[in-house]
Amino acid sequence: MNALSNLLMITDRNVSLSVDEAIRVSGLRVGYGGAPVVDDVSIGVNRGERLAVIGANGAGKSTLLKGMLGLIRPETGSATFLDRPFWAVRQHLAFVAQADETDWDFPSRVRDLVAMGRGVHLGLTGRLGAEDWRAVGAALERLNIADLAARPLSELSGGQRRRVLLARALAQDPQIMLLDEPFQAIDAATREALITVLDDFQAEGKTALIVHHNLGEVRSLFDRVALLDGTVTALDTPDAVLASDAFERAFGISAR
Amino acid sequence: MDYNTLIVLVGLVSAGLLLGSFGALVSLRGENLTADVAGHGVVSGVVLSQGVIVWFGLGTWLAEPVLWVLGFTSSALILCFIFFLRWRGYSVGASQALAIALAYGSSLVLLSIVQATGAFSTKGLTLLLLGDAATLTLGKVLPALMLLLVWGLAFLLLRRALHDWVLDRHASGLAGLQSRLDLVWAVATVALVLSALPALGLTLLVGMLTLPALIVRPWVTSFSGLVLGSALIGGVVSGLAGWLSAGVLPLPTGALVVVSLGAVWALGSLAAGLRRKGVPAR
Repeated sequence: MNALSNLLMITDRNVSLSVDEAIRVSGLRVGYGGAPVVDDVSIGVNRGERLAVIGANGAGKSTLLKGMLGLIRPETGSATFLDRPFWAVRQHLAFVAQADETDWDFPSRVRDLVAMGRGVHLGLTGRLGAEDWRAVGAALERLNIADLAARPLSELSGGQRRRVLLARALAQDPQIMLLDEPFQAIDAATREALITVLDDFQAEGKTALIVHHNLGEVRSLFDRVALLDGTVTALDTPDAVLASDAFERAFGISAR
Repeated sequence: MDYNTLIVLVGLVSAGLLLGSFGALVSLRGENLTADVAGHGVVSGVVLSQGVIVWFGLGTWLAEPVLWVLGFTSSALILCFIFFLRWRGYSVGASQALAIALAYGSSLVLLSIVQATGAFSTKGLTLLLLGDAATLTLGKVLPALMLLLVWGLAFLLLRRALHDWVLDRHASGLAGLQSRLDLVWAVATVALVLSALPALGLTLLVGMLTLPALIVRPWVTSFSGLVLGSALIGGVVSGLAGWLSAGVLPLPTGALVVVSLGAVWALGSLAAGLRRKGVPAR
């Protein structure tokens, strides 16, 4: 059904944005052909909530995100967004992958990459109109990179790349964002800019699920934390998860 | 310029424009070898079409349509096999290697069967592999011309979606574009290979798909610039090499096209290297 829906670009235009639960993952099992990388994962994320997914290296954090979005086909289980399958709400859902998954040598400019965020609203043959370019400009402004609009992708630094990818997600004007380690290897200024954008996003009642690696920041940045270790071993407030036995087992350290 | 030379030049320039521009997309996606496999997938269908014409006593006017239908089908099947393997979790390289092995194996088996009945000669095989631009006729050039028109219109219509599709598979997949453009890409690859076969032959096709984009890449910073520049380089070098081959250098045209492109690439790389040295570090 997913493949057929992708092919036909079926999108539910009447999706309700007033449901309480933004994301529901139920019994998800995802792998690459052998043993599953994540198994029996169930998570619910409320609207307007910011949830961190943490875990040791190889715990399956990125795989979980890709499984939720169908970029890797789940073996069992499902993920719904705003009470609908992904393909029905794709215009409301943005994904920011790790920066190294983008081809930064591609012959294109920053504004064209950010404009990709509008593609989900335009379909196969639609052209970018004045409203789309306004959204692109606003996203660039929010990330303080309007001066980079005409710069070739190959000339961006690591921090600028992060900002550009987040700007693309914002240009889409989504209700939900899934971000894979957006704070990895960035300078302090970029970090502050990303946090401001995420705070504004949440203040608008929108939802973010973020794979995060800096355990020292989860208390200040997130409402709740899901600890992943092949499956979800703890799902609670940051304080509760960091004080749990599951946390100690996963990382071999105590944060109590 | 006589009529035959004009047809040859039109055929070569069309093939150059087509393969150059489409090759830019193929190169950016890193799918050059997949296009090569699609080319080799054509062989089974082409060989079989020669047998079908003889075995069923079909008129010669049916030779081209039968060749197109069977060549297209066999190549499409090989591409489907690659996509199936990837879907099953095989790496890109492994799926290409398995598919090309299957394409070669099935082609040789079919070739033995068809040759045993006298329906396909060794000369026919040589033409298939190396092409022969000198024997181009209007009938053989027309598919490339029509495809050029269709591809030009498609690029105008889909430029933004193609940019997104080539740049970021995840993003275009999430936008719902990937499956449809994958399908368009697969069909276009097979059609392109078939249309350029008479002029360039199978072994030279992958060079034509790769070299123009490599030549242009250091000099452009936009997607459209790369596609149009590659088309221009492919068309101009193919036309020049065809003109040289027709009058000045009595060498096989397809080979001359690819060698000329190789020379332009070497000179271009040298010039790009010198240019980079002159640019202060950013």
